[in-house]
Amino acid sequence: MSVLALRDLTVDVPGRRVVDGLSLEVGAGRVVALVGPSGGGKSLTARSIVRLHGDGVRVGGQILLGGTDVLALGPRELRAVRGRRVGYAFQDATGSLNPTITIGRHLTETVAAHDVGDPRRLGEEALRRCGLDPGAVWAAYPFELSGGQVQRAALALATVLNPDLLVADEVTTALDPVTQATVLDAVRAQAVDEGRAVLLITHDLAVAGRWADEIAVLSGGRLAEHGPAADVLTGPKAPFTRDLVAAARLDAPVTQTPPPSGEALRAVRGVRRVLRGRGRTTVAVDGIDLQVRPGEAVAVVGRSGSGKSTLVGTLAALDRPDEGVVLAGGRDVWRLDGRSRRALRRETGLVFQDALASFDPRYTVERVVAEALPKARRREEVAGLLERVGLDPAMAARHPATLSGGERQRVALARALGARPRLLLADEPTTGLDVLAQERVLALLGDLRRADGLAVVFVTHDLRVARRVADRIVVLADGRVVEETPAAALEAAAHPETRALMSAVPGWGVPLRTESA
Amino acid sequence: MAVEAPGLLAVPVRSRGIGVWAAALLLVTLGVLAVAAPWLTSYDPTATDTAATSLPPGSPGHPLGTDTVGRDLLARMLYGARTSLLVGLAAAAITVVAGTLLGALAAAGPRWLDEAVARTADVLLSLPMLVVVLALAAVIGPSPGTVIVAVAATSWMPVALVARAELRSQRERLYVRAAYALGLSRRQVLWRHLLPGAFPPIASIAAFEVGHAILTESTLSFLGIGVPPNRPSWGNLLTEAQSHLLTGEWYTVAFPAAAVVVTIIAVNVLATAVARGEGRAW
Amino acid sequence: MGLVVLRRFLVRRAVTALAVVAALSALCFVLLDVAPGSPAAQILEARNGGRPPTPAAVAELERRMGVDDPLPVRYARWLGDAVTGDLGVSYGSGRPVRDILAETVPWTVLLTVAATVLSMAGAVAVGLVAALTRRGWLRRGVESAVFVLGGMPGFVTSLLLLYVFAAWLQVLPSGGVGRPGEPFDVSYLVLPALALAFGHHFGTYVRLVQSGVGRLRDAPHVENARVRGLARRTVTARHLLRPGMVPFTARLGVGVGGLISGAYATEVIFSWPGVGREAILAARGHDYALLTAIVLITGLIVVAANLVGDLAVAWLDPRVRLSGGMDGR
Repeated sequence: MSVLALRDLTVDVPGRRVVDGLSLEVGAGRVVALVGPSGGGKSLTARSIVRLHGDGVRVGGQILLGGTDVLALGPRELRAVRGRRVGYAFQDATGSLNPTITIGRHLTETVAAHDVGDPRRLGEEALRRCGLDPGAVWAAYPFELSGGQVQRAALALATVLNPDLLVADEVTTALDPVTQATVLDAVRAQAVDEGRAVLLITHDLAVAGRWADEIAVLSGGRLAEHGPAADVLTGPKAPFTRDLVAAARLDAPVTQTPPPSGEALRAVRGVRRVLRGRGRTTVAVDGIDLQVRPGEAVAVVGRSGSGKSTLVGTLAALDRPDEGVVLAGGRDVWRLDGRSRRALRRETGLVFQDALASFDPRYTVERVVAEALPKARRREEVAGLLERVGLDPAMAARHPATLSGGERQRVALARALGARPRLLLADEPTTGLDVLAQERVLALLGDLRRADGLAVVFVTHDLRVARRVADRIVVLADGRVVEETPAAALEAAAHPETRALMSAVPGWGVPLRTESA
Repeated sequence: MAVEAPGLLAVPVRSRGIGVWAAALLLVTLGVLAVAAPWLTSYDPTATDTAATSLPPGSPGHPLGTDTVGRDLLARMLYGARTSLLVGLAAAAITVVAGTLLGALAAAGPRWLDEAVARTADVLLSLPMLVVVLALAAVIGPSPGTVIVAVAATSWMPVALVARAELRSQRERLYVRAAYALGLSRRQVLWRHLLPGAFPPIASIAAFEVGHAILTESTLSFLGIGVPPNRPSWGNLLTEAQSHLLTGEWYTVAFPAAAVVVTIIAVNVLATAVARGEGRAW
Repeated sequence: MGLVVLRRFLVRRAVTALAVVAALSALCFVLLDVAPGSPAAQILEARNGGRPPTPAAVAELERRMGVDDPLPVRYARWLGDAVTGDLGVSYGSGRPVRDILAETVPWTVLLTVAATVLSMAGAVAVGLVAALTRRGWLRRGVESAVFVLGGMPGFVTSLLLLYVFAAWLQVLPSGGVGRPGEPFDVSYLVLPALALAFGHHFGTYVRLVQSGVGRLRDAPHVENARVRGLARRTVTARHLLRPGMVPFTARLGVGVGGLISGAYATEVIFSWPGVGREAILAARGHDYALLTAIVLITGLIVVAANLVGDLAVAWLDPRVRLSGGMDGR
């Protein structure tokens, strides 16, 4: 019998049905991924399993946990089920832990609440199962741990009572790929080693393909497709799944450009930049040489903290390096007068990962884009720019906060293109977007390069995306360039850091999970 | 819905319901009454009249009655409004201007200046304010000017700290970096992004400072160390009326007390509306 | 590691407190020094029962008091005296300031402690009700009441209570502490304590509790606590209240300072024989020696209260003690 069985589950928020008749089973020792775009009802489904849907959300149908209907339980029975028979891991691990008590206290209070054994022993076992050293993290507060550690601690907390079912709700969305891989390995181990049923909620089909046994695709509140992971990925049947798989594959490069030629558009030589924070200094960029030629696309790849964003700030002539020179068209930008340097910045497009934060919160879309334009030709050009990035010009009157993540990023691109730049610097523009939105942004970048001969520096932690958009890939680690390779020759890359990033990418080098159980 | 005007003074005030309008109307009315006091009453607020002492409200010629020495209460209230509002507004204006300037200097100036302003503010915030005001007032001697100086000297710190924190956090925002990336000059970034961003929180705390200043003035005058007794202010009226509470002439206390409370509440309603427009709870 | 940082936090707070005390003592001394009039003349006048002293006697006393010494010398002497408990002689009564303080301080401590307990307990109770209730009208009711209270100066609250309970209902005494010699009757404490508790920033504390806890009501870590099957009580106490009370606790020290300030007006209205009333009388009567001593004493008490508040926050919130301090307050 399956551990979790959803029967005709419906979830209604005021005015809208989000989940509409979902039936799904998760068996012991199996990882089932529930995949779908943001806002598609995945998380509400997961939350309703532990009755964490808030006031005003109505849940119908049945949620059977080992035969008992969770929706029919009284408060006392519900408390006995929570934690003991179903564990829940949240997206924001740091936020899901109480900042005022230690990791150990979290574990012991959970064991004590259900009175099932020695809290200390069970807690330490759970930490070890998740690959943590109890001695190092037991007495630590959540905010003292790294992102990967805290997510694994949260996982240990969810599974400390050996529940039959683990619900992992977008647990790796905020993590870089190497950390993501270690956390998801720990999640998978819960099923493989401990025989738990695991429901993995994710928007990333590639993650599902690599770490799940089965994939269930949720679209419009209904199950679009459900089957073994390999079957869904290699032979998607539903049209929605086909789009999703195509977007997630990221195999074919967007453009095939002739090898770039000509003098470097922008270059850095031996730049070093030290960040001085309170009490500590970090060498963010430590002697980097890089040049970008007209029309070329360069991907800068590395984990969090490898110096990618600092390098972008230097290339954009915003941050002055402590050592080394930044050249634009052969001129040292920090020897120019202020006016020329500002003109140079204007001719360089820059987009950030957090598009919304890069807009003045008081501005409408129109004002955001118009700020990049000379006064004379504002109004008509804003409409033209919005159309170019695939947005409805009617959006101009709206506030960016009311747009979706993909739309915001396209507004940012429209602004960056306003001054007709020859170079576009993009700092993780697709991180945090779901695959369909990411695909649209990447395709747009490809079009822009083809049409305008735009040179692009694309920063990402995802080698798949890098290979997709770039002619050349530069791998950073600890502020240095450790590998530089044509995108086509990426498979032959030798540096351990590159290999680590590669093996962390879901569905790269590792065959898709086939029916082995 | 937020009502917005473009430019630096874009303070989004959410005009929810009639509360904000009522508060604004009330303050404007009070202001007009205070300014027009000489034309609204023919009585001298300090002139005694032994023939008409302790009249209750509604007496002919004395709509609010008279006090124990026969001074007309309406005249005293109107002239009291002049003093109280003038002192309150002047103190608040100095507080806000000085606080904002110091905060801006701390945010933009050299590190030592920043440290000096922040630490001084910390130290002053740790002192019981009324006590310091009391000491200042005692030494300088009671006068409206003393109250203004004492209030300003002891309440500029929150304004300075808010201004400093706002300007600094604005500076760190990604959209400011994006603005520089568009080739804007420092001055353009300051006028287009930094100041409009920092203005609403400062405006909000400034509005609260007005209420605070009126409150402090009335407290000091009530305690006999603020505005001297020969010049009517709401606080002074209360000092004299205090003893009548137990003898049944409650109205001599009720009118000035109500005036103080209603004014402060109205000011706070406006301040809250400004703060809400900024998306803050209070 | 944690301990080192905790010590650094304590050292930092202690240094700030010392700076405050230094500033306070300098302020007090300057007040005393620039205050108009001749202290010597006033003291002699008080001792002689109101008869003006001869210029020779004044000069003699001034010489003994060292009024012509350089400023740093006078400050050092004043500070040395103050530290050893010699706060000078009251100009008004000619009695040692220390004796006056010994009579008045206990009354103020009694009043402030009672008001603090009332105010804080009341704020926590009301704030929690407003934060946790699912009834909109109750929350709005509390918010409105708190708003109105926020517009009332402390002395207005005092007068209102005085009118209702002493003049109208006549159930409580209107002031004083009873006849000398008789045992103290608690009914004298009720009105001043209530007036002080609810007349001074009470609304601020309610709001701090309400927003601190209300903000966390559906926070992920509270959901996580629920979803692990913890008892309701544990979820509320450990996961909701403990982190939620941090903003309130952070203001506790300042709050006690506010109450001590507020006690001045309350004591005057209710004829409570504490330091506040004494200070107002001293200010009106230009008794600068007494006034300065009281400013110094209240300042010291407030600084101590702030330190205790900081310790409480550090205990509640490890982020504060581990990161070394709260910046920007």
